[in-house]
Amino acid sequence: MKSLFYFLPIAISLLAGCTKEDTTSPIQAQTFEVNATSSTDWKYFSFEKDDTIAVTNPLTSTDWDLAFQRYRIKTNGGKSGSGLGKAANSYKKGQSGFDALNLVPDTATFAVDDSLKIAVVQGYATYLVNPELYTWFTMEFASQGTQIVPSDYIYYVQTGKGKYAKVWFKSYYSPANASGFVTFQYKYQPDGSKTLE
Amino acid sequence: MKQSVLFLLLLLLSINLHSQDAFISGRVLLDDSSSVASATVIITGTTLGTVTDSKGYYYINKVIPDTYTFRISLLGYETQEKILTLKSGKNNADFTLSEANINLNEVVVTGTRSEKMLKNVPVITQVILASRMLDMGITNVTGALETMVPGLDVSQFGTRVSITLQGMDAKYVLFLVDGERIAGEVNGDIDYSMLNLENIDRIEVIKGASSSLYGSNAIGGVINIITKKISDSFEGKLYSRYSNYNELFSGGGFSLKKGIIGSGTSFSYNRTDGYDVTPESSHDWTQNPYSSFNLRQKFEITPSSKLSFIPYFGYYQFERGNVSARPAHDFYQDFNAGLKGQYFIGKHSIDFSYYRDQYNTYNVLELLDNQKDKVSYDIIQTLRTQGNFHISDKNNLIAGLEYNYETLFSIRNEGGLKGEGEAVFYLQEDLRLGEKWNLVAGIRTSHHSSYGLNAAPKISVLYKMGFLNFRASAGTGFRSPALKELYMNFDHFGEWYIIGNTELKPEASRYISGSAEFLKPWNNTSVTVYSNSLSDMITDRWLTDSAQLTRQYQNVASASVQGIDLNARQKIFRELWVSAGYSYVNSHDNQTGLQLYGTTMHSGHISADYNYRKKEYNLNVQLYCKLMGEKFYEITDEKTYRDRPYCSWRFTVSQEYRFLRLSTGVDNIFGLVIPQNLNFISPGRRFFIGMNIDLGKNR
Repeated sequence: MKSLFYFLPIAISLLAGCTKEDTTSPIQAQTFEVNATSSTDWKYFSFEKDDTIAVTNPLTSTDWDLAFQRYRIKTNGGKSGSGLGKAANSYKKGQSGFDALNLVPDTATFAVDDSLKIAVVQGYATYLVNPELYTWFTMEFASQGTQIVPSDYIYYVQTGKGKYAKVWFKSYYSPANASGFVTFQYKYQPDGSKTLE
Repeated sequence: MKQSVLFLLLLLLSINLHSQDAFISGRVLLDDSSSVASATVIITGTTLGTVTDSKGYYYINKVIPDTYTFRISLLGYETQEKILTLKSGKNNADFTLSEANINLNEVVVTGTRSEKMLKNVPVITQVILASRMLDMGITNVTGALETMVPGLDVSQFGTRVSITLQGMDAKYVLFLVDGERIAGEVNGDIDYSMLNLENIDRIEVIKGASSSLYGSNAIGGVINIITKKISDSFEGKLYSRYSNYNELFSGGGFSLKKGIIGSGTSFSYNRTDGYDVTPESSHDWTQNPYSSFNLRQKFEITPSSKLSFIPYFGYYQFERGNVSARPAHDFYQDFNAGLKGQYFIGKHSIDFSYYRDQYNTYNVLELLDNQKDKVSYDIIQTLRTQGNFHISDKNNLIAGLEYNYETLFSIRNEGGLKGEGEAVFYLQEDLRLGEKWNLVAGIRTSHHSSYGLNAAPKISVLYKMGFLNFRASAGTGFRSPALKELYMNFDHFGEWYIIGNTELKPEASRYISGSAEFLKPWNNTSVTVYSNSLSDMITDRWLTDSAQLTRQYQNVASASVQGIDLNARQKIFRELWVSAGYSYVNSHDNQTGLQLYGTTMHSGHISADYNYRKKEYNLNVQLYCKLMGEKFYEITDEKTYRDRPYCSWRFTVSQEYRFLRLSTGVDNIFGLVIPQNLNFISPGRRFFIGMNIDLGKNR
């Protein structure tokens, strides 16, 4: 039964592709694990390269799209960069939410990076992050130490160069159970349109 | 040395000189002259003993003619001691037991490190009989303690079970199994699910530092779990208890004796699907799912009436179901093994023991073929010898030498692997002055590899006035810094750190207590008042001169704890009894002026039980209510929080016919659910059904 649900969207999209006479081939969902274990350095990610990239000056470069430091995430815009980067929460969740989002709606409320005041163990800390993307997790103070629990929201992300992607941040832990490894699934539209199929 | 070998040989030889031997036989009867089967008859000060047959007869041979104390005991009956002089050849003695709901003659060991009747021990001791707990459908040790000991409460935070005794947390409570420490503590709490009630005879609880012969951590109290002795006849027991959330406790035990070798085996398997009463934090359940398995094997070898050996080993494993956001779950493992021996020289005896316990924790990596990743291991080893000198019937001296070594590996430790050793000498004098006074004084001196010399003296006095017992105790206790407190190096997401401190010295305490006890076959009431003051308490504090946010363990805090404990048991009519316990604790952190973290000022329980016995049928009905006052979690520089008070009810019906016992009951009758209470984690009303089969009774 479950396989039918996975099969259905693919079948429909294939049918849709046929009627449009193959002008655009459907884009693929990718999964990437970024090593963001450092508390001081940022790891820069490019959707186009499907990989982390070295960036000499993040404030001027438009090559990077997302940056990671532990559970904090930046986009290439606002106070963080000179690109067109920003993000919006779709408020849809999980695999079904990820599959259902085919288009970036005009009503999506995007936010650029800004300073965010966060309550920490002693007083407050100010993080320069994307405020929309700061909702990707909740911290649960569990008996075995704090855990980062993904909220499973699907986000629309505009890249440094102004293209669109949908992103689902799925986990904070590596298969070896080390923290600071953010695994995310995304679909990136390289043609610049808002279609995310 | 040569002389002592010769002496040993002579002793061994003397056992085989039958012509000089005495033998004794007789019957054990009840008040109404009916015979008693399976009563234990022991000659104290020797390895000799037996159980009565189905007609109540017993027979012990190969006894060296002398004067001995005979001890006759049976569950549910008053233990009896009788002094008899045996002549060579045939001797005869009959004993009469009387039924008792309060066994005033119960024998305890924890308070004085020697066997002593409960009513004669100057250190007030509470005894919880495991068989009584199983009657009530309680299958785990923490459940038994929480039910029976006023002032002891158990809280649970996700995966960790934590206890508090008289306002002091588990760091200050020493948990022992047959007098030996248990490896694998986290903040003083051991893995309590390792302890299986079926294998246990009784639990002895001593509050406060009045039993300082046990050393580190015995500031708040000592809880000593006494495992079952192997009986002379075959015993086989199976039990199973099932409750909501697919919770299963099951297990059993077998013991038998052939010639000089006895063997006891016990095992258990427990599991549950778990539950969550706080769905808003979906990755941290109130009770996690788990499964655990436990196996214990013990042998008792008595080559002669003067010598006995007990080799034993145990294995335990625990696997937690994963409800967290991590791709890993916990797996714990424990291996323990030891050897105890006792040798009698006349009325004196020498004990020797070696014990090793290793507790491993692993992460099971679910995305990597369930590969096991070792997180920590803790090894405790103890080597001990103790001399028990029976100078006269009124004067007993105990002297002991002990060496403890602990090895801890943790990924949170600076440098990983750490070890600390401690050499100990202890001495105790037990003096009876006339019929009314009993005085026990002792001292424990230890030399620790990290902080050097430490001495903890104690003194306890008992004064008997007919049916009244008065006791007073004064003592000092200490707690060595845990290896974690010395060497920790913990990084919290790179945001802040906790580091150890190798400059730490032990925490110290001064304890005084006084109690009065009223003892009658129809009523037993006791009142205890106590005061405990602690100095050099270790706590983690923010470092001000550090570049990053860092907490470090320091000897900075001090506190005092005062309280009153009440215990009462009263016969209403025939077999209906009412029991009540109440504990008042007032703790005071001298710096903040607040109650110590996790203190419950008022707590208690009240219960009624009815027992009906007719021939082979036995009915036990019990109604039990636990009362808990507010629990304080207050620290000035952090969050303050209090658990709300509650009362929770349990009803149990247990029926026994011949070899079968069926227990049914309902826990939390009124379906109380308090999501945020750490010490009340019930998911609501729960029914349970339990079955015990006693294979030994069907012989």
